[in-house]
Amino acid sequence: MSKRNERNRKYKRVIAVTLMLTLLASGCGKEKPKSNNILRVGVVTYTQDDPFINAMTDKLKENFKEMESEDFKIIVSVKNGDDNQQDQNEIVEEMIDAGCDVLCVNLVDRTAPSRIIRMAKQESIPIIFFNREPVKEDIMQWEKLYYVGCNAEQSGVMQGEIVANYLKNHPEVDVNKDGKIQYVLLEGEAGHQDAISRTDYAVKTLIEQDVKLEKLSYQFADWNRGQAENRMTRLIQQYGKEIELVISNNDEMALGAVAACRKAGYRGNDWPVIFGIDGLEDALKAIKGGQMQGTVYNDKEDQASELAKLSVEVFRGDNKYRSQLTDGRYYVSEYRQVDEENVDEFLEK
Amino acid sequence: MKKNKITFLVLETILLVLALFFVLKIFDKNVPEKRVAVILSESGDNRWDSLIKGLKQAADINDLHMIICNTDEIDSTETEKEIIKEQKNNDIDAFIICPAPGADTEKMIKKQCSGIPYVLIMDEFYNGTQLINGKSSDRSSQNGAASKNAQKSLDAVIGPDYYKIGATLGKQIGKKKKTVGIVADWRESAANRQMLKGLKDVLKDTENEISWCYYRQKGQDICESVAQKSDVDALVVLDPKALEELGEKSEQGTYREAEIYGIGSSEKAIVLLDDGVINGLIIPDTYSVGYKSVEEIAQKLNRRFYRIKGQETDIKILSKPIFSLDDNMERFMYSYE
Repeated sequence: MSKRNERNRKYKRVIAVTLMLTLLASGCGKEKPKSNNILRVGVVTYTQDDPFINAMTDKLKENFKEMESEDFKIIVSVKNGDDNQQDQNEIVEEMIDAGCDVLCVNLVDRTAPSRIIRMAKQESIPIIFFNREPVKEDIMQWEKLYYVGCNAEQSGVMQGEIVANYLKNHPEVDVNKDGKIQYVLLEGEAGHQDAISRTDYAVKTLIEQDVKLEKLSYQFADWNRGQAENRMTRLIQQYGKEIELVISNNDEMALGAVAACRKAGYRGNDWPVIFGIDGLEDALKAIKGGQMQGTVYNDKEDQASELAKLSVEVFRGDNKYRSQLTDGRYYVSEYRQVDEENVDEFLEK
Repeated sequence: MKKNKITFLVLETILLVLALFFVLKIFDKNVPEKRVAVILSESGDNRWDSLIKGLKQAADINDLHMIICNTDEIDSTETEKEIIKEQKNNDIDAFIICPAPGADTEKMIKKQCSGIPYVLIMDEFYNGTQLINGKSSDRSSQNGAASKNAQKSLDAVIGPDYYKIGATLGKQIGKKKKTVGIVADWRESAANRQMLKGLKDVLKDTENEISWCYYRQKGQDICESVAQKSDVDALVVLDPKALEELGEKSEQGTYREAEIYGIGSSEKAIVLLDDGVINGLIIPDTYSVGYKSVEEIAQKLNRRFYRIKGQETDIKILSKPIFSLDDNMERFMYSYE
């Protein structure tokens, strides 16, 4: 009897040891060593065709380079979602698969970050969204999600103010002297929150400032210069010199309007006043040259700097900048107004 | 009673066989896909779009799991070494590598990838002896083709014939007297050396004169550097990324006077040609590079003693007067969806 007990105990011990070894082996197998000296940042933009985003990404890379030291290396990989949320999800999946410590994501569709968040959460990779703000419920669903960007409403208000200011100082804009400003709108995307906010607040601000407006038409041009040029050419064919003001949701489309006016052979008083948002270098040059009258500077330098600092901080687990974020998650950069008087200051940036 | 026992045993045996069969089936399906890491400089850049498409399609067919490494510019052996080391910790079964410039890359890759199958794509190892004048041990100069060189090489390379690319660009410039500026890729790159040799071999039989040759350098703005060089009648750009940048600047009128010829593999390069900004363009079939490299690696992973073979891929020669955007281009760049 005692012999049998002894044998049973022996068996139990063998089984226990085997189980422990199996558990240990399966646990260790998947463990990937993580170096604290190398930060791997995956940057995923919504498209490769947006000059503002490209300029911001270049700045971001510059910032990361400056933050490197002999014993701290930063590898930045930039990919884009080809304007398709499904593709962007796959790109993020590939990046996580290849190994990544922090993700900086400029969403294609700001309302659809769930899959990206889920994938990152599984691997405990923090995400800093930028430029296109996910809805608050999404950002708040995990503590390692952040947003760096601007307040679209502020850009609309500022654009409205700058246009109102210009119209007050330049009554000649009202070419037909009917006391109203005939205008066209170039909008980003149908249903896009930033496009809606920029348009609404720009027009609302103008009305609040007692500017009499008459909307001739609005066109969606997908934030794109080429599309805006086509739309504006059609508007010129339809309304001709009736158009006195062009309000555009971004500089790329404003520059498209400039190209259309140039193609139409407009000069002097024929040329409508054109306003954009973003502060692209080409737009600043157009303001300097008199083809555009103003823009609202979207501070890409500030946002790129914040993205870089935040990426390094979350990687190291510090809390210096994070403690200053709104709700612990949001960094909102301030817009600035640009017109012919202060354009040189921005061109030097 | 005995009959019942036999029936019972037969049934038990059948059940056991069935159970074994299903267990084997389950495990057969659960065999993890082999993981292949692909190392390309700036892997998110659009010049790799068609190559990555080729890689992915071939990986899908061959049941391989493709990992496109997250990379910035790989400008040195050391950078590439870090990525290889990282991927070795990522349970990798094989590598597809575009070798970094530098004479130490060969030694490094051989050491790091010892025991792990790998195939080189787009470029071979630079060994410092690939001289442009071809008077010494330049391997490509011995037979005039990089591809043959690749097949002879101990390390299999899948990529285009760079000597032919350089020579074709030289022919596109024409025989009439022109001053030529060359914008080359990294100085320590075998592909770059071979392209330069092909170009120079053709130009020496014409009245054209090479005014300067600029090599890509770390952290330098290529457009600014070229703008500081003397004016030339023709710019030959042997670096796909630089071609796009210079083409864009030229579109804005910066080098309007100079004809631009170059190598590129992105849609942007084709649009620049279509717009008349670029006068001549050579497009390597990078889709095939991606596809064939995966096929070779798949063979190696399936058959232990298989020897990976180097292969020469096609190039497409386009020049402005006879070029028009058509479906064939899409097919060439991305092959079959």
